[in-house]
Amino acid sequence: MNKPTVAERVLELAEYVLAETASDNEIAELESLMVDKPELRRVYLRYALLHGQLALTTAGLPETGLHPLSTSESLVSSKLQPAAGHRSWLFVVTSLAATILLAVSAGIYFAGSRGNLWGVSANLSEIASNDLATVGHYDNRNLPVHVVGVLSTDRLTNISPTTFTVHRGATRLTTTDGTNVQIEGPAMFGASSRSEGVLFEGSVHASLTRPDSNYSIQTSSLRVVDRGTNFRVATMENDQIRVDVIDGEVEVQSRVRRPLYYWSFDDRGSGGTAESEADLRYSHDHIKRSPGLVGAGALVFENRKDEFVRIETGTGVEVGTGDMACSSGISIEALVVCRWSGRFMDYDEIFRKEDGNHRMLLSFQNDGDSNNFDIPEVLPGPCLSFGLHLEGHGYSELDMPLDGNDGRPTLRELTDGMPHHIVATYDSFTGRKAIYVDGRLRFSHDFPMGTLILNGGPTPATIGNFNNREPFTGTIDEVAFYDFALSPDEISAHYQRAMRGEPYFEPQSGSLVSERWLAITLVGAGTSQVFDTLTGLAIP
Amino acid sequence: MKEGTPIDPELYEQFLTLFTRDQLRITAWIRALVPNHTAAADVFQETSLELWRSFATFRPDTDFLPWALGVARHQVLKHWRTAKRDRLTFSEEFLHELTVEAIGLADELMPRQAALDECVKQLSDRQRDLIHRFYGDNQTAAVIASAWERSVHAVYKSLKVMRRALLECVEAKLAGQTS
Repeated sequence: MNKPTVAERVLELAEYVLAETASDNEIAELESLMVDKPELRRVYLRYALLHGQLALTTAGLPETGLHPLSTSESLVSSKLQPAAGHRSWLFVVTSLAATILLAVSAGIYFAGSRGNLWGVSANLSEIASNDLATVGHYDNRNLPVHVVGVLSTDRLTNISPTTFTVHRGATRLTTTDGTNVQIEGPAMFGASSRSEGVLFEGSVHASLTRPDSNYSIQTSSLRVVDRGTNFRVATMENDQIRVDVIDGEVEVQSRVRRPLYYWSFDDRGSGGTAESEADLRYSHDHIKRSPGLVGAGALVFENRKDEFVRIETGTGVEVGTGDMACSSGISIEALVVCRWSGRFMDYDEIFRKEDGNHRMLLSFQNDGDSNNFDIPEVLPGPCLSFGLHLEGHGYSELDMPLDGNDGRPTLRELTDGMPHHIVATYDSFTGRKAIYVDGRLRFSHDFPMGTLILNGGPTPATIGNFNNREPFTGTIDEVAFYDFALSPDEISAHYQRAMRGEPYFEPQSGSLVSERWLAITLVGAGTSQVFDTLTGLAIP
Repeated sequence: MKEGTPIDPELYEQFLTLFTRDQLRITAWIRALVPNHTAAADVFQETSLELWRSFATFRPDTDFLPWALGVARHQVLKHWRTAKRDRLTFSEEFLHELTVEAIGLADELMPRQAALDECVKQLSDRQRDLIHRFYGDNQTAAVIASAWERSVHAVYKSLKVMRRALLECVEAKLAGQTS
C-alpha cells in the first residue's frame, strides 16, 4: 500500500478538524506537519476555506432569493427603494437592521452631522454616549436585541423575524407591499412577518400605500388591523395601548385565548375538537387507549419504537411558515402519567416538531448534555426539556433538572404513577421561557425582551415519539398547542380543572374556534382610543 | 476617531457598502478557522461589531477585505483563547501564524467561491442534498444519518468524499484559468 503524501495526511487530519472529531494527538500531529511548512498551511487553509464557502453555494443557500452580492451591487442604495422587487421584504428589513445597527453604533460619531441617512431618520445628534452601552453589553449568549437576526451567518435567519430597538428619533422600514412602518423611539418593535409587526414598547406608525396591501400591529393581547389606513399604536403605562387613526379605519381585535390545536383523544376522529383530532395519524391501530385522565380517552405508549402519533397539520413550506410557526409566543400543554426510566441516553418525547435547528420539543431527556443545547447551563442528568429556536440565540433547550432543588420536581415524583400537568411556555413580551408542573412555575430562563421565535416548517409534529427512536412510556392526554404564552393564572386554572377530571376550559367559555383574534371595535379616522390590553376593553 | 467627532457621511456610506459586499466572504473566512457553525456565527457577530467600533481606522484608499479580515483575525484568536470546550487545540503561537497566513487568502476568496459554485453543479443530487442539509440547514451528521437511514460514520465519509472531490475540482478550475 502506498504511503500517503504529507499533503494528503494534512487533508486527512483537516477532515477530522472540520468534522470536530479530531483528537488531541491528531491536532498535535497536524500542527507539527504544518509548523515549518507554509505550503502545507495553505493546503490546510484552502481546504478549510472550502468548508466555509460551501454554505454560500447555491446548494447551501435556502431558497430565499438571497445571494452574495456582487461587487457592483450596493445594498445601501437598493434598500432605500420603497419596494425591493424580487427581494423578500424580510431581506430588506434585515439589511435595514444592519443599517440601523450601524447608525446606532456609529451614532456617537455623528454628533453634529446631518441625520436621515439610509432610511434611518433618528436625530443622531441626540444620541448620547451611554446609548453605545447597549452595544457594549454584547455577549454571545445574551445578544442585544437590536442585533438579532441581522448579522447571523445562519442562512435561514435571512427569512427570520427581526426585532428593532430604537433609542431616539424615528426609524422607517418599508415592506414589499409598500407599507411604511415608522418606529418612534424609544421603542422596541418586532418585524414578525411581511404583514404583521409586534410592538413590545414605544410607538409605531404604519402607513399603507397600496389599496390591496394590509398590515397589522400586535401587542401582548390586542391586535390592530388596518382597513386601508394610516395609523399609530403606542404602548402606555398600566398595560394600556393608544390607537390613533390618521386616515381610514382600523379594527382592534382581542386575542382568543384558546389553543390553536387541542387533542383530547376522547374519540378517534371526533375528539374535543373534531378538526384537530381528524388531523392525527396513528402509527398503529393498536396504540392502546385508556380511560382519559380527563374525558373518555387517552393514549398509552409502551416504549415501543414504532409507536407514535403524527400530526398532519400545522406545517409550512419552509421554516417560519405554517400554522405552528409562532413568532411572539408559544405554549405546549399536556397531561401525562410518566413511566420514563430516566436512564442515560433514554429520551421520551411528549411533543416534537423537527425542523432542523428550528425544532420544538417537550421531552424527558438524559443525554449528558451531549449537544450542549442547554440554556441556562445545567448539570447533566435526568431533565424535562423544552426546546425552541429563538432569533439571535439559535436553538436551545430549557433543561429542567429533575433534582428536587429550588421547587423543581424529582424524577421519582414525576414517575409516581399519578397524572401530572406539564406546560412549557415562551413569551417574547417578557423573554421568559418557562416550564410549569402541576400548576406551578418550576424552572425558567429570561432571554432579552422582544426576542422572537423562529420555528415551523415542513415536518409534521409527533406526539409520543421521534423518528422511531424516542418512544414515550406512559399515558398522554389533553395535548394543547397555543400560539401565545399562557399566563401563570391560566395554567393554574387548567391544572385545577384537570385534577377534577374536567377539560382545561369552562364549557361555557366558548368553543375551540379556529379564529385567533376577535373584533372588539372599529376606530375611525381622526380619532384616538385607549384600550386595556388585559381586558380588551376600550377606556373612555 | 474621538467620540463626537463629525464624520463625512459619504465615507461612512462607502464603509457600509463595502461591509455589505464582503460580509459573506468574511463569514466564510471565519468558518474556515472556526469550523463549528454556531461558534463561527458568534465570532462573526463580534467581528461585525468590532468593525464599526474600529471604523475610525478604516482608510478608504486601502482594500476593505484584508482590513476586515485583520479585525476578524483578532476575534478568531480571542475565540480560541476563551473557548473552553471546543476541540481544536492548536497552540496559540501556531494559531497566530495560521491566521496571518489566512489573511493572505483574501485575494483568493472570490475566484475560489466562483469555482466552487461551478463545481457544486457537477455533484450528484445526493451530494447537493448533503450540502443543503449540512451547510444550509445546519443539520448535524446524526440528524442526516437518521433522515438517510445511514450511519453517522457514513455521513462523515460522504462529506469527506464530497469535499475532497470539490477541492480537486476547484484547484483544477483555478489552474485552468491561470495556465
